[in-house]
Amino acid sequence: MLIWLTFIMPLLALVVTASGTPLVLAGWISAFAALVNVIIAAVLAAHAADGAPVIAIPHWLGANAFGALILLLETLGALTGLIFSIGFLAQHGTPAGRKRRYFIWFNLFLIALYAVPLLREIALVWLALTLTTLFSVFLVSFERTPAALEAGWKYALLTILGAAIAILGILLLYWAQSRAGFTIFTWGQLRASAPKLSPAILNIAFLLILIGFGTKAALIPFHAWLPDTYSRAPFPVCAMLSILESAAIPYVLLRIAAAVHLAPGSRADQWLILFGLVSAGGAALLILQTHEYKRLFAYSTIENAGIILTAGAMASSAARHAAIWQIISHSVTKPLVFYAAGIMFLLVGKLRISEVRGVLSRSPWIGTVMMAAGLAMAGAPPFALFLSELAILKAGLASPQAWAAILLACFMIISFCAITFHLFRMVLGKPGTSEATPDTLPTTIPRSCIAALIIAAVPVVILGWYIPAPLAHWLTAATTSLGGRMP
Amino acid sequence: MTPDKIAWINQLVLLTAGFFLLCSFGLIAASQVMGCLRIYVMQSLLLAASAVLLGIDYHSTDLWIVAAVAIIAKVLLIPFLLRRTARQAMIARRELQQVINVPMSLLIALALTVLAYYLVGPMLSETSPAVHANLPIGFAAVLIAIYTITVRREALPQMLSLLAIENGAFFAGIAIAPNFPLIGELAGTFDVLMVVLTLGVLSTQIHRLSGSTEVGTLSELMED
Repeated sequence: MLIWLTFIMPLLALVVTASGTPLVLAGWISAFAALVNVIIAAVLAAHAADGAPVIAIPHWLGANAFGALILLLETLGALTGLIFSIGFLAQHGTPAGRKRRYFIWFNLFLIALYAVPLLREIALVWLALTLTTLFSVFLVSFERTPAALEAGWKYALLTILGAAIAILGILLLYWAQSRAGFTIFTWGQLRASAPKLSPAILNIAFLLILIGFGTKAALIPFHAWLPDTYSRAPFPVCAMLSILESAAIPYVLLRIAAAVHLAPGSRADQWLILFGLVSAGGAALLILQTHEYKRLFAYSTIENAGIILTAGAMASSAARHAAIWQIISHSVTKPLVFYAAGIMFLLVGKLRISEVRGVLSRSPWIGTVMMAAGLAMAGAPPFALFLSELAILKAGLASPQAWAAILLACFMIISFCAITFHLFRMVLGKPGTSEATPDTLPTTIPRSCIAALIIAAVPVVILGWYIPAPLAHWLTAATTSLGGRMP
Repeated sequence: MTPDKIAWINQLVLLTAGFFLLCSFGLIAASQVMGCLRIYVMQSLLLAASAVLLGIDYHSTDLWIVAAVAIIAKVLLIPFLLRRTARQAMIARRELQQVINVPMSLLIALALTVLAYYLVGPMLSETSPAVHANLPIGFAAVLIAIYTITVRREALPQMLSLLAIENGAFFAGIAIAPNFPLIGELAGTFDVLMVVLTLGVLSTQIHRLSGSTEVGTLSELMED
């Protein structure tokens, strides 16, 4: 029942929005639906962590400990994203009809996003991921300028290309299973059948799935769509895409790998580590040379996805524990950064790093918030990512893949320096004369944007000190659900 | 069925696969949008034909439904929608631009076909003749269509290549997963439908705003 409610809430919000309710009210109703979903997800996580998965329809719909945790992160992001959208759209000079469509697409996107961790049939997980693309295309090209349409076009073309490659991999996976006499294509069956499957097929199938979903997650070198998409999409949409790329897709990949690696001769783990390291390293270098702060944050998302995949594929359960911890801390941190940047954008009206100077002297509180959020993203103490990155390095160095952990440490240091360098230039520094155009920009920041910022900041600060006992329990249960791994 | 009849069907399956691959090459060589569309329709018809033949071969009713869905969606509906949403761009009688010229592209496509056979080779032990025909050719069609997307510069040919990737994936799929619960095929077709709706809308809007559907000229957002 709870699982059904997860889909009913955004559906209700969608109907309310479409039926012509005043826009602000529709926004708050959508946010309220997301709040209910946060509570549902927490209850689901608590139930699933106690042992057996919560099942709504056998073989089709249900949540295990890992899935419920991902759902919780998605709903948290949706809650703050919707609250932020209300104020952000109020400042935006677009027609009311398009703003209404924004909330409709946002809720549709949420339904597809929630479905990813809840579906148990792997082909349907693929379908849900494809739907997230289709529903977010309109959110990405929301501005309707030629540049925004170009961004939406590239995003749709390349991620659907990825989806087509992934479906070939999924069909191959099914072929391998049906040749071994298994006919049900769920997560559990995949795990049960994996030791009997042909490694020649499994390896190609996993590679195709990794490339296909990797394109959707913008893993390097499949990230061509990402800079455009992030620089044109509205800030709350960027936050949701970040959660999709660094929580939902690593969840799918890690779960497939956890089953596939049980087959003798499987190379799934090596490929995950290879792609993870290339993405983490490539993204760290891209952060160094980027010119726009939204793209900077986007590259940081790829870096984190790379770190998560690398750590998740190491032959050590402590490393997998840390990888899921990293998923949690990144999914709560990245929205905060995008909201802080969105508020900064309302103040300065510029996207290029070189055109933003001296934010602190123009508005002390926005400067401070941006600085704190940026440092949290870079992985500085006392924020959430610091602890989880430390845990990854510690577990990685003790695992057989210590070399990968050393590389990860180097990439983390490079990106930390690059992020703080860009951040200090924007926040500190002297405000120049060229960008001083305060007359055209709104002087007051919408209250709902500030509310979203505060709500998003709470978990980042708390997780920077310790993991509350229930969450620690859920985290351990999620790690256990991925199963043991041969060294 | 008599062995004679099975052998005859297998011959037809091979023939269909051959023509299917030929369509992939045709998509690279076509010089006008209408030509691309006709080849795409032809390829979809071959996909349906192959699904019918394999349906007889494997005694799978699912594959008959795949064939029906392919004909309704890919042969009838998609061309109709495309002609409606992007009429001007469709009938414009001008040469499409390619980054790499056609003879060179065809050679690369040939190399990709060899690569597909090389990749698929280890999987083919102890499999039926239908898998031998469809799996490598489906792979080759996917690879060639990915290549076509990268060399085409305009929105509509890119979109048709994207649809051809889907064709290739399912051409391989019908041979290896004939008993896959129907939802898989429906998913694919549903996907294609949505693709056409969204991309179709987008490409016409790009057309309206910038005067052409040429995506290559939209380079405002290049990372510098």
